[in-house]
Amino acid sequence: MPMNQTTAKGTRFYYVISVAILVFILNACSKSSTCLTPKVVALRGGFYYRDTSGNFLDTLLVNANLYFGVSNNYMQNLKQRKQFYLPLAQNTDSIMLFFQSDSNSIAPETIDSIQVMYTRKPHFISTACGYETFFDISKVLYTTHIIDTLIVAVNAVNNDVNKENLKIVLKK
Amino acid sequence: MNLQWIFITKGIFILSRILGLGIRRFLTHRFPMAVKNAFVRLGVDKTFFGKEFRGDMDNAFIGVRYGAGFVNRTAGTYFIKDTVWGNASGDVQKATFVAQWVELVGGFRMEILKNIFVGWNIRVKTFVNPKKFAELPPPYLAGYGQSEKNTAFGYNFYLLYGIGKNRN
Repeated sequence: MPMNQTTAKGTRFYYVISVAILVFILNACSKSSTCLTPKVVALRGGFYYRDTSGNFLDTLLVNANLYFGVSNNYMQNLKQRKQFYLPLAQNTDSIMLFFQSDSNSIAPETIDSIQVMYTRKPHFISTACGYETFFDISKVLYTTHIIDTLIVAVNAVNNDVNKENLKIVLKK
Repeated sequence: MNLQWIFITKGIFILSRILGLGIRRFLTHRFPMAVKNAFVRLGVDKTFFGKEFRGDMDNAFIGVRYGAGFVNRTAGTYFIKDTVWGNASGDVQKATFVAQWVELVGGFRMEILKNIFVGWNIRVKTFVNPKKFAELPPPYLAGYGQSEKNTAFGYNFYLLYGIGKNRN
């Protein structure tokens, strides 16, 4: 093997091995199995009044509560808020909510119940994050002490945070 | 397991064919499953440099590949933790489908002994039919790598035997 050929081979071999080691190290450093994606798929809703022309006007609640969870053991305080969001159950096809229009009152005429019925579909996020559940609202039942009308504006409950699923129109 | 042949043709083009078979069980994975797949990858490489001496086969190259293969995945189970309404779990049905992907490849190979090459390549891969992998993608797919990523990077180090007589 001529000298220049030997030198060229040696240089190339050094180059091949160096880059191979560099690529291996860079790849080893980039391994990650951390879940960085939010996993809570939330039902979103807003509160409205109907004006004399029949148009919906969004409204701030003074101090209301929304109870939810297996034993209604979770509560969201809606103070000066016009929207809410909460998770739906991923192991049943319906949930029951209780809307307390005045947090200082437990009078029955100030409280409404809302039953949301839906279908579920598992959605794969990633290996690190696992699955989440997407929902499709099929029916909503409610009492009408404080609530005038409840409209299902968007049936699909998914990761689209810009859509409002429920419009809750309150009595004046 | 991968088998690779490099068919050396006239000039600077090299036709590369790769056949492969993968059988893996992911028992300790978050979604335990077993995956079998067989694939074929076809493509061409274009080398960069001329020969510095007679019989010089070392070169850097870029290339494109088309890959396709059958994938067979067993059913999987998922679990969702939910402290508000209670935990949920479910099964994902087993699936058999064809995976297709394209790759851009770049690398370097060097002949260390007559007809025996070592080298490495870096590959950028993307699925042609990513919707097939929307539901519980296998953690690893022979020929592609981590199939949960529609576009993925990969690299190979290899030792191969070249077939061909044209060394001019």
